[in-house]
Amino acid sequence: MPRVEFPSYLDKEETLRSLRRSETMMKHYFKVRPALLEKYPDQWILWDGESVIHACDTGAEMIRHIRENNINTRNMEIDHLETNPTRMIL
Amino acid sequence: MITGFFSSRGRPYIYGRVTLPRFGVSTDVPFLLDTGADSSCLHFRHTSELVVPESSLGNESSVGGIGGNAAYYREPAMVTFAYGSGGIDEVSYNIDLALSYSDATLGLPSLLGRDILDDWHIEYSRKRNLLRCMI
Repeated sequence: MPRVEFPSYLDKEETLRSLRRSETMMKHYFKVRPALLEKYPDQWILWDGESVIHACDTGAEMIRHIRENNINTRNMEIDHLETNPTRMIL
Repeated sequence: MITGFFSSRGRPYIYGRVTLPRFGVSTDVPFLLDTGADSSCLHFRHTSELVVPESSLGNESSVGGIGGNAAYYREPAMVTFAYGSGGIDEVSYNIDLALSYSDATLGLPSLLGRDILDDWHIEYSRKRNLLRCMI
């Protein structure tokens, strides 16, 4: 398998901290998602860890908003809050 | 041990940090575990975070899925996972990662395929909310 040593040019502690932070934030998002689903049914939302900073009807609109406003979406969630999820991943 | 989690829809995820050494950029990615995927891939949501211009990527290839074929770029990448109790250590892999820049993949999760999963023994129990990977 292609397992490798962690390279010296990267900061291992910062990498691990970042991974823990990202996972914690996503788990928090799962907790608040039901409330957001009620408030923004069938909308695409951009969530910054505390609140929804943009909501729109389509993914294309969301991408346009992010590009036009030059938003860095790291540490944010982009989600389609389907009230009747039909899109399956196969 | 690497510990994963289940999304609100019950999908199994593990966080990994993707680094593209050729560009010196990294981002954290919630990977969907996919034993049906021959190789790991990033979709639009995460390729856009890496801020690598599509024009600087080469090695374009067609990747087939259940939904049909799509164009991906293959790029050498390192993927790092938090390992051990409390995630205090790391385990890293060098792979050829498939990158999609198609807007149409915005709603799709990035996938962790067998290029990495084959190195792990995985305990999976949705009923017990348990997702653990041993090396």
